[in-house]
Amino acid sequence: MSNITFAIDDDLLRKSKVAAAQMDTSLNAIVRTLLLGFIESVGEKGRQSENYRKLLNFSLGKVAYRPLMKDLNIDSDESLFLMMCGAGLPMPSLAEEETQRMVDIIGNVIGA
Amino acid sequence: MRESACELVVPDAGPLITLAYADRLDLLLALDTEVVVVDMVTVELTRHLTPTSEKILTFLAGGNIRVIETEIGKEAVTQGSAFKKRRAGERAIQDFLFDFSDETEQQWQPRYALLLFEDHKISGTSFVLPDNVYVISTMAFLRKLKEMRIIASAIDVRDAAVKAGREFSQRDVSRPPKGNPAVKPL
Repeated sequence: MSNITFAIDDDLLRKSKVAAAQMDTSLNAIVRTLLLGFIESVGEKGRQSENYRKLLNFSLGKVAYRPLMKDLNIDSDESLFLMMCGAGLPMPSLAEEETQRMVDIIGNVIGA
Repeated sequence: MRESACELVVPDAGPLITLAYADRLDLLLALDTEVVVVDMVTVELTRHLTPTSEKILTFLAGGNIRVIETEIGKEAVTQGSAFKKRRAGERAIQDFLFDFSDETEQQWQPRYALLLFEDHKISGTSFVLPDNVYVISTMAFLRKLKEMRIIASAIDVRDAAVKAGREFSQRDVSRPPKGNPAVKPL
């Protein structure tokens, strides 16, 4: 069995550990289970869901919002949000440094 | 009294949708800023009846939010369902930016605007922003609220939205969108 290293948001790690403990299991077991679910969803040829693959690419930042909406033939932000929720995928997010830069801008502008 | 004025501008329905699912639309009023919504947002919300549209429209009608009229927004209201212009939302934002710039020149007080978008919309925006207008994400907004101890956690708000969204989502994911048989259900 291999060991892997990856970066994870502190708050997400804390909450994942708590959730795993509440289910009387380990974070390792949770990650392995989620990866198996991921393989089920997109990994096996012939079992691939086109919707899921498109949404996953969007979640990973590989496809932009507008082409995705066109591709999925949807025209409301809420439909996209609900599809992402249903697929269990996070909406794409900006880099941490960019978000922090915006937090600082808000502080400077409102004086707080 | 502050020596500058700041407006929190909601030019897009995305942040409203997220906060509505999290049942925290009230957070938009948490900063010491005027909150304004570009009229095309309300047009879109009225056009697409969704699980949150009524909640959002009720919140906007609550008297604490100013809806800014734009030329294209007025056109959309007048034409109703016949209105078909592409990228009307973006054109409304550009209208707003022109007006904001003009109004700022006529005021003695420094004036700023924070344009609130969801993260995924920011990378696709290409507006020419005046020096006193900044684009911020919903997550940055929530993180600032956390920093100010108005909320306990930005991620908790986002997670609450996702959790509520899942309750409505299964039907949307499992059916191929109309008119696109190439898109297979999960």
